Amino acid sequence: MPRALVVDDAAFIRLRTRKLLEENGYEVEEAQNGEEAIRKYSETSPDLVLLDITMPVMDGITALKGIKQIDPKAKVIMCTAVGQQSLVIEAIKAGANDYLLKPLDPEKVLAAIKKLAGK
Amino acid sequence: MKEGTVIQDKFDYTDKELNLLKTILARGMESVAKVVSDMIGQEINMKVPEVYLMSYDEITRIHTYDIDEPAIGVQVEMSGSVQGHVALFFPPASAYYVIDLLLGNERGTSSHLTDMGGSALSEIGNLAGSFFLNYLAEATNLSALPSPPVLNGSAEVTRELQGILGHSDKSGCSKAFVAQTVLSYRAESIDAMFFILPTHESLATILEVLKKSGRESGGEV
Repeated sequence: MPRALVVDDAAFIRLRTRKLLEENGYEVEEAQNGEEAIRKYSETSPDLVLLDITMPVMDGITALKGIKQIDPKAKVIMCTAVGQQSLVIEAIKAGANDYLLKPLDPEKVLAAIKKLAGK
Repeated sequence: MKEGTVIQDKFDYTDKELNLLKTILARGMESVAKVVSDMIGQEINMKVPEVYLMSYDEITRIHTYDIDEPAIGVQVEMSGSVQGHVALFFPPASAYYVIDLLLGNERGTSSHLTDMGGSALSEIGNLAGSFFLNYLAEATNLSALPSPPVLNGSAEVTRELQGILGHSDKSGCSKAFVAQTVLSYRAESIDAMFFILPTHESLATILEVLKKSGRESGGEV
């Protein structure tokens, strides 16, 4: 069973995303900030990371860089409400594979995951 | 107000610039309805938001919502080219209704803030604040990022605003943008107020950019 790490400071979003992924055959691990995400990534090496950007303790861009240091081939989809071009460019430069805007459309999430799984 | 009028507090703006800024704020407010609609998969209707630019002292003169009553609020701090705060307030009954909708509960299930209910409401504030900043960046090229949302369980709006203003930087915050509207779902009303509290310096920066872009586009902002 493929494994996903869902990183978001909002428990409500983690719950919704977990439900969506589990219904689609994923085993889900959660983290509520960037620091926890890096730790859980190194412990569990998930197949996929859904990563929020605006979080306390450590933001998602910093976490993305940390995850990419551990595993340059890590598959990471940024999920955020911040759609400003400068941030999207920064995320892509840091190695994000995709960038989804909140509120998350389940179909778009699944399409992004499917696209990544094929790579 | 006449076009080109010099306003107190050293802000100099025209009706066009003010109206564009109000439109940006209204779009942020409208995002609340869209977000809730998207999340519950049902259409949420919204009255066109009434938007005001007013001094902090004038906020208490808004009569369609009693801001001395307790409310549940979510604050987001703005940082970058535009600094200040965004705050979204719901009267408790409206907040609990939004939570019930988001969590898929029957109407009336929520009567106090649970961790999950608070998280759901915080996310609405986060999205509304983020969308406002996205629209602002699009219109002005001024980049500002939101902080993680902070939920305020229950306090008077005025007291919360005082708290926000008390934490503003040295340039202070002399004016606030206020949008208020009523969302409705299946004949039930949801009251909401959206405050944009830029620092004095940030508001001047925004107005200057809008003025410049108006000049460059031949007067059309």
